[in-house]
Amino acid sequence: MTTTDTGKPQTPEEQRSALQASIRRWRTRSHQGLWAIAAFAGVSIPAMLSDRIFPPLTPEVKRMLGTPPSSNMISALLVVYAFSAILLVLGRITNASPKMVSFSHIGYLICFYAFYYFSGVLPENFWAVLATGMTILSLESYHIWSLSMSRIREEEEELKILERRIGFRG
Amino acid sequence: MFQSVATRSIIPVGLAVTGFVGICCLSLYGIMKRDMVNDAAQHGRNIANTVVLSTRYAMLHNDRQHLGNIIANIGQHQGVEHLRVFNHDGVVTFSRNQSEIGHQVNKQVEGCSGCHSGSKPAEQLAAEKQTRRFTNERGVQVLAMSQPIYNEPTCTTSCHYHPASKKVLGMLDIGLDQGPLQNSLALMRYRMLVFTLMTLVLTVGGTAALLNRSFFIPLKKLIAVTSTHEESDSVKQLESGYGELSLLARNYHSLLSRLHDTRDALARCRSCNKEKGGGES
Repeated sequence: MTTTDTGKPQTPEEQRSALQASIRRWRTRSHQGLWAIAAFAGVSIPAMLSDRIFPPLTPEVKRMLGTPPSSNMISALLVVYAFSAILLVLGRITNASPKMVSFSHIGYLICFYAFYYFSGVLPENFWAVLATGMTILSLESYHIWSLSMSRIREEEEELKILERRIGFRG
Repeated sequence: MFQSVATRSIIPVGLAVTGFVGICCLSLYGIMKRDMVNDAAQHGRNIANTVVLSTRYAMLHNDRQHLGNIIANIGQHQGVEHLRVFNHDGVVTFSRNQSEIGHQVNKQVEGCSGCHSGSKPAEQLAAEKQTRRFTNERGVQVLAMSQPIYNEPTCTTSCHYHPASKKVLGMLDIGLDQGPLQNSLALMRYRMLVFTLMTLVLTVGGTAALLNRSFFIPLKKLIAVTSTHEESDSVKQLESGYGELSLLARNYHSLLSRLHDTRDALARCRSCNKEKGGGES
């Protein structure tokens, strides 16, 4: 029998409520990946319109930032990041790892947008960064969703067993 | 549908392979496009330099007619959208288009601002500032090069001379049609797209088809057969194959046979007991 925070054993009703709350939390969590994809799409719109929205960098700002890395180096780094991120998420899917990563990728992708923008080659490389983000976030979203669904199924089974035990008629 | 083994096996791998191949193609296209555009710009700068060198003798001897003929002839070349020479004051002195001669250019427009953006005009123009891209009034995408005509020692001692204090005597401005480059880029895009699609069809489609044939279809048959709890010919068909699923089918068939034998034995035992109980009474 599970125990509460005070160490007392939980009553069947309390267990039932706890399971239902957990199922609700997992359902909410299962959409976390979609929110990350929507957030990334929101960030990508100003990146796509960067030459129209953002003013050109002044020479003082360029001097302060220094020489930007070459666009070939940024592209190579993007491919390496995509490769390693995809491998990691496939590993998490294979092992059914409980670790859920989504929003941190948006930070890395914003950095790529920024590097391309400061190098002056964002319009040519925008679609590559967008494809990278969509691929990685879609895989993460799938992992989060399938993990959440399996946990929900397990807890729904536990709930059914518990309800049968306490003779609950829904 | 999303919970089936087929979906959980194929979707992540298909998404990963499709995405990664797409990312590599887009990055590679960006790199190749940049290289081709840079090559076109370098080619344009070479042409501008050639024109300046070709007109040097005519300039030294102030042979304006000869110079005008050279500009007009080169300007007729296919792919040249505009060709003009400005003097030190920004007035068009020679041009392929006769109507431009005598007009003064605005020093703040792109192409002139590279040197004239500050209070004092720059005396040297960096290579990347010599080129600019725009769409002209005819809707043609143009790659334009501005080649400064620098004062040389012979320019101050020839029959047509400039004072040595003047560093830049004028500017050659040539514009080249980017149509052929855009066509090459479009062709490259099309070829890369076809290659990507073929690669994805082979990898993802081929893997999915092989998995479907060798695993998912036999698995579905096994699920259908094991759902009925009755012996049937389908089980025998599954057993006749090879691999792990056929082994599973044989094991299931063996289990089913033992269950039926046990049930038969139990039924016989019960009927024996009934007969014995009826005989004794």
